[in-house]
Amino acid sequence: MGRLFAIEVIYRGIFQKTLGTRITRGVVLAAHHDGKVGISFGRYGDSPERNGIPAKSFAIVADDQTTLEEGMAKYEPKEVDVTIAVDDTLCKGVESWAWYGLQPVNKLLKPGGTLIVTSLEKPETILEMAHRKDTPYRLAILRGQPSFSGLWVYKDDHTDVRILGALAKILPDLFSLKSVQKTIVEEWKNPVKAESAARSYERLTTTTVKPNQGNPEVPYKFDLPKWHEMGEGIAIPSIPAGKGMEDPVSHTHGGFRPDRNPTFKKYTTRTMRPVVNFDTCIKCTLCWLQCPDSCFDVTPEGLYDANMLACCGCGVCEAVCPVKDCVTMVNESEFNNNESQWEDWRKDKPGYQAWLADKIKNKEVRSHGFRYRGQYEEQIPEMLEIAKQG
Amino acid sequence: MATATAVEEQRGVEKTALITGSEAIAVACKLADVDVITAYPIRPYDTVMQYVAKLVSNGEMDCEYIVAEGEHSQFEIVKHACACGARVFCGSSGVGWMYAMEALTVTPALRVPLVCMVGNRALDDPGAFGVEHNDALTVRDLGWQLVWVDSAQEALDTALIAYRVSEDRRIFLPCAISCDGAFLTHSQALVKIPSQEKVNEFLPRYNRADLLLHPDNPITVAPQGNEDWVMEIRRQNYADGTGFRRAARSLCRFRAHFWPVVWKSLFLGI
Repeated sequence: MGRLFAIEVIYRGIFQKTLGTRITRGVVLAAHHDGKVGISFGRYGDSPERNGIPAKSFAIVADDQTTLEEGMAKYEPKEVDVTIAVDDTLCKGVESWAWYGLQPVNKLLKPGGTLIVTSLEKPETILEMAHRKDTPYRLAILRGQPSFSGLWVYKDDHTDVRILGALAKILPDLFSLKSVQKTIVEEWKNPVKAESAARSYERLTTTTVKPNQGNPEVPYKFDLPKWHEMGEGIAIPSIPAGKGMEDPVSHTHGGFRPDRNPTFKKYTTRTMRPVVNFDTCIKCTLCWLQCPDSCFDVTPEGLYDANMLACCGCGVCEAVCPVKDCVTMVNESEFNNNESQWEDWRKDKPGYQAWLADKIKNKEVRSHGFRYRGQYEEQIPEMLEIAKQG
Repeated sequence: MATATAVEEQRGVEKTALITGSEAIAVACKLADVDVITAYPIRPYDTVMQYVAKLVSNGEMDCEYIVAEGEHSQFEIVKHACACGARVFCGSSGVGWMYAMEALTVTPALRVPLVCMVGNRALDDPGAFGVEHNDALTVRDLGWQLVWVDSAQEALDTALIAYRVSEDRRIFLPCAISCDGAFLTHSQALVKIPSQEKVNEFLPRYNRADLLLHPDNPITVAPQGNEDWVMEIRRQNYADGTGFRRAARSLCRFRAHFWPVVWKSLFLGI
């Protein structure tokens, strides 16, 4: 039995689909130049994809065909040598159709495996998000803005080749930098990208993450009922009607919080979240009405609180709100919990206003995906700045 | 690697590509110069449909590409096109294959050599994103040739062999090539693609001979029968079906023309 390698790319559905496929195809083609065989595939249970929902694609490579066939006879690998997260907010954990519960970003990593993240953040910030693992692993940050494309438009910012170059450094047994460059020139006919791969190879640094270093939160999980525990006729109980909410200060009851799906929460889909100014809200009800997922809880005094366990960050609420700066979408990397904004406001109104102003003023570019012609060209000077700094 | 390349050139292999089993079948359709392809989208078979559409719209393949209004029509169209002498390709998955059942049941008795791809899919309800083989197995007892392929390479090879075997006048039975959804339809693997010259040597043109539907050939196909006659027809199918197994085994030796890959497919049929 020869050596089997498994690489996974965790990406945001639709926006990074092409990026994920390019990376895993690049892995197989580069490894082929080094005499290996492999396959590249998207995780089947993730399709059809939706905007932003975490999804995975894989590359399985082996020394010989027999080892490969053994390795590919499953829907997805149970453990991987390298996990590549092409959006840093994915390090908070991922929930997708193909997995039950919240899956930590480093869950499948073999002991001593490497997590590569494209990010402008420092390792400490990543480790605030990534859940603790009881075996050590390595963390490599590829410095840069996470690369989001549109469905039909690929943002060719060299993220794909930079990751391939990094892989050649991390797993020299998998393929050499030479093979990566050969693949880039043959498959993508772009010698400049071959340069980027080499640059990434030279610059890569990794830090070791000790066992139990990271986010202490226990990711939620559940088991599906077995055949003798489930109801017959493929019938399941539906979600019950909701209840009122309790004010954290006055302890009055009122309003309405819908009951939500206890096992599929969706909040890991979002790359941005709404922050609400409860002082300027005019209670027009439009955000609550128009939210496609009924994420707004109605408070006892008739305000609308976006529930952070349910919100998947579509931005419709911001678009329909008639009051300036009342609902603002802010990049998800600015937040590290799913607490209720209304409860925070009720407990400390001036503090909340200061927090709100800070979030709105200092927000990172919150747009993901391709939104207008010329957008990518506008981003080039900033990206070159980041590249120069290394 | 140098040795492998030399061997590949010797066997007339054109190139190696990283493609899915579905794309491999689409490439086989192109190499086999298929005349009529009908399509109706259903996952996971629809990947074949997409690759064929791409070949047709890029001008790499010249065929009638018809998107039917449902799988029932889809399979009826190719059944009749094939009866008129066209080489055809069709495919479906899971409940789509079920929807075509009326056409699938009668095709073997009519001795229409369809080559179809079944992208195995668990039947809905409840459905699953994964594989069950119940869809393909429904044609097991109807006189279809039924074969499972293990890899994208086998998918390409088997499609070409299926045309050769099915369109042999001694056989003239439809062939369903089952490809596990996800594993074959959506995973990209390294596939060697034969040259057009090699395929032309291997595949003769489809000749419907005495059963061709054409004004110059005055036959009537499928007149109404009684129960006694139906049993005779079934017995004839059975006899030819067993004969086909012998013929198929000898034809399988032709795969050695291409490359020494062990071909583990299983032929079923009455």
